[in-house]
Amino acid sequence: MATSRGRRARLRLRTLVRWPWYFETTPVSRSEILLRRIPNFQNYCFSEESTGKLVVALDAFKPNRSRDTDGMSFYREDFTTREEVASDHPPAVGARVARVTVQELTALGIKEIITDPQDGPAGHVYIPALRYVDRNTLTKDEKRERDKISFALAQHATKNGLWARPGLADPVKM
Amino acid sequence: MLMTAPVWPNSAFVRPATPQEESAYVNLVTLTKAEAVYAGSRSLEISADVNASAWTAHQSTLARIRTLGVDWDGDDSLPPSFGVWVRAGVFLNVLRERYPAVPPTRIALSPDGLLAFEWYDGDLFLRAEVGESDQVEWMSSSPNSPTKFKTETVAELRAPEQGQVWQPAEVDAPDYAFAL
Repeated sequence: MATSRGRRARLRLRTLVRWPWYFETTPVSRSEILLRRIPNFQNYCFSEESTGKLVVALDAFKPNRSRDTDGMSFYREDFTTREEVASDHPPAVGARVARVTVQELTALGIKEIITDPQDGPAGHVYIPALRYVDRNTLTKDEKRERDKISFALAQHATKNGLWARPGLADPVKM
Repeated sequence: MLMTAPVWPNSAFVRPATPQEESAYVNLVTLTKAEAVYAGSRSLEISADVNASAWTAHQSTLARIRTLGVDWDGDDSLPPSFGVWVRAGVFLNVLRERYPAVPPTRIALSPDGLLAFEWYDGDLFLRAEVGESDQVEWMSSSPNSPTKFKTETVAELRAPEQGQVWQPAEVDAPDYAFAL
């Protein structure tokens, strides 16, 4: 049941000990995993020719001008499922779900992850340092720093594996 | 490997390959004049066919991208402006002219409407992003090395006229070939 503290975490072995006090507004811990929805377009994820392995593209981790105005949106895996994240306003071509650990984010210098309970999947958070900004207003160094982080996140997401609903078609060509 | 040396050549060159390197060199790294060096090699002929179809496929992709509208990905992303699209087409032709044996692995479209050409080869990554100016932003990444960036002004991208969109410009000095 939702309260001012937001919804409670999913009851899992991982969350069992602190589950009674573990709500959406509980600060994000270093041991958590965050989920991000990626449209099922080849522009965002594509099969590597030699191995057939899905590769997440840098552009999948560029902030979206509608969704990421406060910061890049993620969902906490302790609170929601990959299925729910993929089903949240899915594009017509469907969506895949990428996973990134908080440790990977902090290693990139990202320190601030804001909890932001919303309608839809539980455990919404955003990263202000990666909020959408018109690139024309950024300095060259700021653009490069953002691209560096986007690429690193894409690499982590590739390594961690992309989830897709069973039966989802291969990523669609633009 | 996409790049055999940490520094890109400043001009076209023939890279002498050792016998050990030759196989990998023919298949993967052929900057500029490698075709002449290995003329008659069957593997190279096959490679040239593959490369030609890759370049053609990229032109088709660019043509398809021109048809995209706002919200093309269902996430309210922007399509490239006409200017960005034109510059990307010109830059693709410049790349093809200069590096026919190294077509990009893919063309990427940013959610904010920028177009980029990307080369993936194992852990090596190279990206050239074309935006609203005549500058191309290069980004490269390789294992155990920090991500590198370089901005390059490409004369051919300066205010191209519509009628010249798909005509590769004659270039005396490949000033876009640079050290990363």
